[in-house]
Amino acid sequence: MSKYACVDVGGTFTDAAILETSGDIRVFKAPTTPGDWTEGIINSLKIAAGHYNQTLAEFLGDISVSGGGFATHGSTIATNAIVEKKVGKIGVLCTKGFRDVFLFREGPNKNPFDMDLDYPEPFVPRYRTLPVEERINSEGGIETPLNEDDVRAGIKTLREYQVEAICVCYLWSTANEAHERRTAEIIRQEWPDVGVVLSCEVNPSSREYRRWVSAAIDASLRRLISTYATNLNERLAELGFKGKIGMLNASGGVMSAEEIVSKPLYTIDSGPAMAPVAGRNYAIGDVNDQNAVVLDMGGTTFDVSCVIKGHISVSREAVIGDEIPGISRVSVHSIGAGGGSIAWVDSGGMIRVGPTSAGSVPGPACYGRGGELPTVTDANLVLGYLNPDFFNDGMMKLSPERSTKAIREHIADKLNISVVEAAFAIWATVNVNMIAAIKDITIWQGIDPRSYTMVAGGGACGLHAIPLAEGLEMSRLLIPRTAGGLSAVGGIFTDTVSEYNSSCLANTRDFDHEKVNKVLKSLADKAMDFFERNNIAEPDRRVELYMEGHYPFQVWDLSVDITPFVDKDFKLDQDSVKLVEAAFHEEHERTFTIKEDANVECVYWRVKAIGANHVAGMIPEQEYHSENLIVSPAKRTGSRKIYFKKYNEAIVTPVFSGDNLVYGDVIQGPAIVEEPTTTIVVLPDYSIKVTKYNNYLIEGLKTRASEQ
Amino acid sequence: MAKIESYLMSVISSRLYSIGLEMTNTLMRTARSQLMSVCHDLSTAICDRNGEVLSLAESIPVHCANMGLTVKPCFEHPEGIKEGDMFLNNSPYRGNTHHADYTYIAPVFFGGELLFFAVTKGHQADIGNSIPSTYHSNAHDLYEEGAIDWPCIKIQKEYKDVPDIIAIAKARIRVPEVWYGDHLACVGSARTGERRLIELCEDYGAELLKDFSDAYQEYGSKRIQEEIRKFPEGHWEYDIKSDAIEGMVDEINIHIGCDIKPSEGKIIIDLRDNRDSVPCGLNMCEATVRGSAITGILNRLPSDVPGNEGAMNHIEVLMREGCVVGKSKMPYSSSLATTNLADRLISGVQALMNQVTSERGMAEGGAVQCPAVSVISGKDWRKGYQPYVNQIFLGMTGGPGVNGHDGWITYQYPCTGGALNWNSVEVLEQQYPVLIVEEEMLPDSVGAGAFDSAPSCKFVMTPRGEAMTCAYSCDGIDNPPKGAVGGLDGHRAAAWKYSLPEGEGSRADLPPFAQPEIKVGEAIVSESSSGGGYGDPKKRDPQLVCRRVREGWITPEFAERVYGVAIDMSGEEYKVIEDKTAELRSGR
Repeated sequence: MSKYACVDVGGTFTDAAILETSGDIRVFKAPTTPGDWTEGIINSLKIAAGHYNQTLAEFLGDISVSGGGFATHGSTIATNAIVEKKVGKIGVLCTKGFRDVFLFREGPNKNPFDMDLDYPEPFVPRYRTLPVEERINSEGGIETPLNEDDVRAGIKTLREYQVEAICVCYLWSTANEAHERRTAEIIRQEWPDVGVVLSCEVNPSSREYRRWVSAAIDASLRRLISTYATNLNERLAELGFKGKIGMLNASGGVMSAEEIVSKPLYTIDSGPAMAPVAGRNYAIGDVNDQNAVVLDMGGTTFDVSCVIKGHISVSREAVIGDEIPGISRVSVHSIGAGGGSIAWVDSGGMIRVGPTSAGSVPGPACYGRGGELPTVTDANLVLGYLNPDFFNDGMMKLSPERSTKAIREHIADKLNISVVEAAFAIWATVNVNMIAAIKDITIWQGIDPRSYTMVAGGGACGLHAIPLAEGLEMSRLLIPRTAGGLSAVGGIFTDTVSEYNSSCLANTRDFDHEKVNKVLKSLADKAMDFFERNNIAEPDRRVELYMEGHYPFQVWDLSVDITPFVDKDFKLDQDSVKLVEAAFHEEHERTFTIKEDANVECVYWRVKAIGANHVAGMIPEQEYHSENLIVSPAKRTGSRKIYFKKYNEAIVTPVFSGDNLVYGDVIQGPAIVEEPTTTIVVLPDYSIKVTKYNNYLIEGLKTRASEQ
Repeated sequence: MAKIESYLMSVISSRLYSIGLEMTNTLMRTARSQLMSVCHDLSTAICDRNGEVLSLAESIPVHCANMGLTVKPCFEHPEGIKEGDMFLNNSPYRGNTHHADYTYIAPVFFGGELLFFAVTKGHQADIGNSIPSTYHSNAHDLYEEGAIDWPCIKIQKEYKDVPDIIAIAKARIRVPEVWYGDHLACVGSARTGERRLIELCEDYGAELLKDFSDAYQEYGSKRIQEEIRKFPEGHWEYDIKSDAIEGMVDEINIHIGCDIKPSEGKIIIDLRDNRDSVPCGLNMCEATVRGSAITGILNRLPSDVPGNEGAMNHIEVLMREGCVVGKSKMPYSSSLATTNLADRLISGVQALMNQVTSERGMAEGGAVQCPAVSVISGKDWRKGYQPYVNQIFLGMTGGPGVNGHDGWITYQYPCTGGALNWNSVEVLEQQYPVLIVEEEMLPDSVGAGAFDSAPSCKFVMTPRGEAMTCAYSCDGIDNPPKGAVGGLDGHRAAAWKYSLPEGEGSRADLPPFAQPEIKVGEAIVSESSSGGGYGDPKKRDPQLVCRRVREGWITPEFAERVYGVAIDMSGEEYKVIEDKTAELRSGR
């Protein structure tokens, strides 16, 4: 039977999500193998093959190559290379007088009272950032012509340094590309073998730092990503895979390896970008909600993202290492809170959790791998929420004694409270930290989460989801069975996506139709080329068009979907400009609660070319077994003593195995549901329902009592 | 914290944090003033029933430790404090920072009892000054400064605007629509805080929250006492000087006395031995003296000490009424009370602490505000000669050398500590009719030390089409920031202009505190001062010196002369010449 696969290479685990044509979907985990990522990928696939009783060759041979087929991504690879400064060696030619754009950036974020830190070095060393006399002004006029002698001298120097690629970064190349284009010509004449990357091509946005650093990152990743993709493809082919790999991109889509190798910048951070794709599918499928807050809590980090009216929210503010390339990326807010986060008591006697994590090595105290500090996982174990004998599908045993010892020594004794009280305080503290993180992302996007569905993913989320939903006053909580591998699952459902953009300044008051329509036409052409290159069938093609702009004197741009306002030739006429303006006012009001009676400066135009993926439709609804409150002990796998604040003591609580539960089953809390890659704590006074797509739903949550 | 369960401390303090965040966000996203919406020149706080700061959202240093002072005058209002009131205090004579910072204060009642205050402060776009700038360095007094002084009055009662107040403001402020928009934004922010705090009361009840407030103040108190106990006992002094304003005031020396009493968990900063107020806009006021002195200490403590009064009250700041670094008195102007002398005071206190401890050691930060952070004004011929006036934030570096780290490059002001954004050249050129000619660091301009300061920045700008006025107050030309523990002084600031066709040879120096008109064909040049270096430059890691030479921050001559490091520059990778370096360093 043919299968769909997606592999997500995370910091700790490599997850393989496998969907069979029957609609059965499962997640398999293997440790990530830094250095040779392919190893971990293959190991996760081996585990999967074992589950289906196939050899690896048979299993790989079954993986469908249609609709994206085998998807993987290079996120960890690209991001790690940047963070560890192991990218390719490049040189830059830039406008004279502006060599320090890479140093100043936009003023890196800093806590004003924290002086105990180093200022980040520029992405490209200054000695390989060479000045060229030239200057274009904001309207695209030439203030100073290109000094070709400077260009030639620069090439000569960079050739001595044997750089892999030359990146050309001039001011206002978005308004007039002539100088960058001419420079590229000269480079090709003088040194045909070197790579050339122009800032007006990679991310043509009119903020010089973001545009320049985008180009520099892209140039420095090309060789790395192409080598990685080629190797992976070859290794998998040797093992029996018949297709070609796809790679996930930061905007939440998949691209062919060839596409992404030509713009590797977009592989950055593509892993977390997939969680909301899965979240959106679950929220729409199971509760018919287009609005969702998607959580992913793993061993070290807690990621939050949002789906608004069926659209995954994107942002340009993502920080990669020390840089903000300003590419549109799925907006994911991340804090250091996970099972491995370490709890401690500060000098004022307050319990704190994180940001330090015990990671997987040495890991929480209960792992028995040498970790002696108490973590969130230890608190969950002491409270009885985790089963010491059934962790990661029973592959690992946990030691409650070690957890108790760690919490006693480092928390309880210092505060003169009981171990259970201390464990509860750790649990409650990490919960409020996560609530604050969710508020952070929702408040800043102008979202009121109360009317949203919470989709809780990640191995550790089921232990905390109910108090999170309560603290945010969200009344509907969905926990997928595959919560443990949300990103990998998202990769299966994702569409084939590529984005193209262009800067072109136009004011809605005296709109330059000719200029803008020319830009829109060129973007549309790029989208069509993309569809052709990737053999995407006519009915599956969809194009979305966005305008980014601001009110006069505003500095930050807001993105508006203007797809409905262009005609079939991608043109904006007099009336449609009014509609664009109205849509901007509306979006401004939604995001910022106010709108102004002003014209709009349109700055940036972006097209998203989407090849639809029909995989989600393959998952059938489950057979309905009528609403069925489980009272008989038949479906229980056991019981254990578990602490709940409501009773202020540990009480005997039933435990259920997810395998026994079917659509329509309802379990009354307090209870525990154990799935291979996640555990759900159902607090007293709540009940959990199995949904038509075989996930877990909790409704009618109480509001505003986060200390449950 | 005897009365409050451990987990509730986390739960409620986190709720307060999120409330502060929501207040900040409401203000930032709805404010018209660029200083708030872009540059984050705003702060929010939650005060307890006594008007003492309980929780402070991440805010800029000069707004820390003084929000309580701004709130306290509410208790003296002749009508008393009533539910639905909204106080406005912008008076540096009544506990606020300076006239440009409007502080909106919403009292929070629950069951008829006053439990909290929700407080929002933000830098306005215009405040009715006599010149189109919210800073007026050359104003002889309040009347010449021209701002409206709101001495903690009620701008709303029963949740409605007091129309007379609104009418007065609209009549006096240059951009009434922008002002009213910012008024709504500030009211929205403070009322959001009020609403959320009432919800908190509904969840936990008044009694528990009163206990929590007390316990949380006590928590802050314990945290800071733990830190103060690590210092030795003793008395220390330090002096720091700011430049003269030609023809108005001489150099101003700030004398700082400091007593640390570890056994009592107390630090006392004494600023009483300083000159009287001066007839210009530089006078500090009670709030900024307290905020700046405490910031100087906080810069030397772990950055997660809570910003509440329970902690801050352990740093006592002694000051005198009618003193240039004290409580300001009518009619002296405090137009620049949050910058300039405030920045010097922060630098002075943090540098004084070098005599106490080398932990988090710091030299003096850069002096401010060179022309790269001017308020620029003029007309934009590209937009139908529309007038513009706004402050820009580029080309000012300033991070001092720190024990263990070189200076933070985009530090900008000691009073903002690197929290402000740095403008994009292209965004600036699109919004204003200017062309930036250059924005690069100046070679050999670091305050050298074992740990260097950030280098100075040279910033050159020319108007396009029409002349432009640049208002700035450039300290640090005569008195460059001092190094610490053997580190050298920083680079001097400069302000000059030249004719573009004639080149930099036509240099003409500009006055340090001024608002010159720059004509088409002229360029204004700003050289920011750099902070002081920390530690002996001869002890700087030679590899780091080598890297800075390779990167062009310093010349090989500077490396030899100042650090005693000789560099081999023959290959792509520069190398330290070990034996020559040893020789240079031994023969000092």
